[in-house]
Amino acid sequence: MTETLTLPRMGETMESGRVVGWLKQPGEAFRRGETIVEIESDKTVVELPALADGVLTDILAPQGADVAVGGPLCSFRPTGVTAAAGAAAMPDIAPDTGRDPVPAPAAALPVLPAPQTDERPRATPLARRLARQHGIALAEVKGTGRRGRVEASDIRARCAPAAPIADGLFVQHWPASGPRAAGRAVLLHGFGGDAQTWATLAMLLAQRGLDVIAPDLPGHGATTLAATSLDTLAAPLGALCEGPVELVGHSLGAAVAIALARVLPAQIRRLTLIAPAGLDSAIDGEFVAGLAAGPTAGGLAHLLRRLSPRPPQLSADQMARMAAQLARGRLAALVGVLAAGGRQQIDILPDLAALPMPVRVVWGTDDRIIPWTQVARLPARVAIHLIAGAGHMPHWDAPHLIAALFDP
Amino acid sequence: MAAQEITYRDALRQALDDAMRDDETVVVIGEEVGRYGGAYGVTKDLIASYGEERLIDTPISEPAIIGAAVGAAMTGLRPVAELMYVDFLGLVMDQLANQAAKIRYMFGGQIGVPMVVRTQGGTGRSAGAQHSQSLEAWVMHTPGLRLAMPATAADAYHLLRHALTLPDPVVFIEHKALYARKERTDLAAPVAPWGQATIRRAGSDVTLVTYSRMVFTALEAAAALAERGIAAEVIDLRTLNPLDMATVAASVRRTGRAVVVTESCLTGGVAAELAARIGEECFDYLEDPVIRIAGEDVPIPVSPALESAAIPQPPVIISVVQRMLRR
Repeated sequence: MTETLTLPRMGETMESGRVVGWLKQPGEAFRRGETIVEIESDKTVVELPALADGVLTDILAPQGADVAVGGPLCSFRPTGVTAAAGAAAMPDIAPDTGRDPVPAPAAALPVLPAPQTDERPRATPLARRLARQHGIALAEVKGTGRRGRVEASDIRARCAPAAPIADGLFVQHWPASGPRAAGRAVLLHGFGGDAQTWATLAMLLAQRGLDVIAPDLPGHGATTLAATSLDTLAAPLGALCEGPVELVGHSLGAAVAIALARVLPAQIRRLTLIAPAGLDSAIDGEFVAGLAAGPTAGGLAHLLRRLSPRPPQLSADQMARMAAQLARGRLAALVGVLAAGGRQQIDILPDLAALPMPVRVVWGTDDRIIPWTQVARLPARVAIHLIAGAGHMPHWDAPHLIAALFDP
Repeated sequence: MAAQEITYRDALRQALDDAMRDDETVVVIGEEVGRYGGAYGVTKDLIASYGEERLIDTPISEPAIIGAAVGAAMTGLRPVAELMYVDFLGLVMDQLANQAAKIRYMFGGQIGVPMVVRTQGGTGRSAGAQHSQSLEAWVMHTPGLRLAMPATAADAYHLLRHALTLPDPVVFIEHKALYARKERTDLAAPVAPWGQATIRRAGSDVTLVTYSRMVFTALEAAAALAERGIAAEVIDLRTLNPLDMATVAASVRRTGRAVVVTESCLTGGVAAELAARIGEECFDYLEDPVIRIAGEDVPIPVSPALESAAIPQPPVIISVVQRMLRR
């Protein structure tokens, strides 16, 4: 079926145009966007582009002809798929501004079938942000708002405040929410962190049926106990390991986990170490010292950029709170335990070799704090999981990948 | 000076009187501003103190008034041009938008246009469709124009005094229904600085953002809401350019809910701009969509009943907020 290409109005005052020349001849094929003919209006010469693929059949207005707006220029046979929807009709081109005309956009848009309704949970922006912060899956929260909408109060009701369970030790709890009970997981955060750094992974593990608890380690967060050594870090944690438990430690927390596993081997089902400290000497000593020095909120933001290729989404408030926490100077005594002169001081290898339970190590290949290549020092029986592109906090950068390691 | 009862009109007159006394370059130009004393009486008797060289009565030609004021401002005076109704803005838009607002930019900062256009808008006097509009969006949409819209007599005085110190053109839109409103105030006492919004009533459940006469409508609604146990915060923007989003955002982040109230009509208006900014700046803190309560998209009727139905009234604000909070 042939269609007719007519002269569009190329300027507000244009009534007719003159054919300057044909760039396509009868029988010649053209593609969408190719210039077919040049038209001179009272102001300028314009190249008319094809709006669909086709083959030119007849020239109806030869070179030099004056054509009224809307008059026929040529006939053509559309060949493209969009032609079926009447793509050939030329819409008016934007008013002539004296500049080169912008080609008109393609004509018919495809009509797509309505997508399957895989609705996002209905929730207010504030509820979404709180859920994100506390690692709560919106889909699992029953909204009490209008039309079942999840509101901030629904989320706040879900995140039970950290409660002290032993003298001075604060622990955050994510109750198991999955269909099957999978026992307990204990998560130990790294130097300068707190239980909240686990929020996303903890939520994912809770969905897998694990009863997840994470303490603020001594010297950190809301815990009031002081820490001066690995042993003082580990000592109050024994009570949490009613097991056998999945024990997970990150960075300095990994060394603490090994110290715990050494004294409570029967209570630990499996040990998962994320970017562990204590394998070799290299470490970003500036980062460690910087955190311990009590940086300003701005300085802290700067330091935290080293943690992850995607820096944490902390609000100014959270950043200020974290900075205030660090400014208390409680980490000073631990700096020497972890690193001195920019070199790690802990050696976990002797204890690691003696542990009876399965041990695995997870590391991000973009870790800028402790190089992942230290995995080479691990004994052969330790499983190694490398996460491409993750930084020092793989549980931030790839929480789903790590959670999947806990699938049965 | 102790607090005294003063009308919005007299506060404005006092501001002009004080400014003309302190600065001899200040001149008033407009239709019947001199011998008659202004259509709403704001310049009454000033001609007795300052003479007809400084209170210039003009023919009925708004382009001439604003055009002359632009020229005067460029050549050393500080004119206060009176546009009798903001509805006549269309007549002077070229002088304002293409000349006054652009001259500092077009001349590379070598010259400015320190003038104030005093005008008034809004409903409340059955003045009809061509004399009752709220056209602040037209001004706010033009970079280069400052825009003040005082609600209180104290702000009428202080914002006008401040406008008469600025190096660039200010459009100063008064509200015709406020001229006779009396207020007990001490004009010598300081108010919030130019460009800063004022919280007129504190509350923790919802933020009502507004300006000009709607401040009183919002306060009335807030008082009624308080009886129902809802604490509404009322923010008076005072100036729309500069626009104090910091005060607004801080409030909305606290309350989690925002309602914008304007007398100007809904579509493409100031309320839309405010709602968009709140949405952008406070998204993560919002418990509800930002709601605009604005004038109907209609010509303002003369009939008093229809006139008041065309603009927001307290019951509408009350019901919207109650629905928001499900109380």
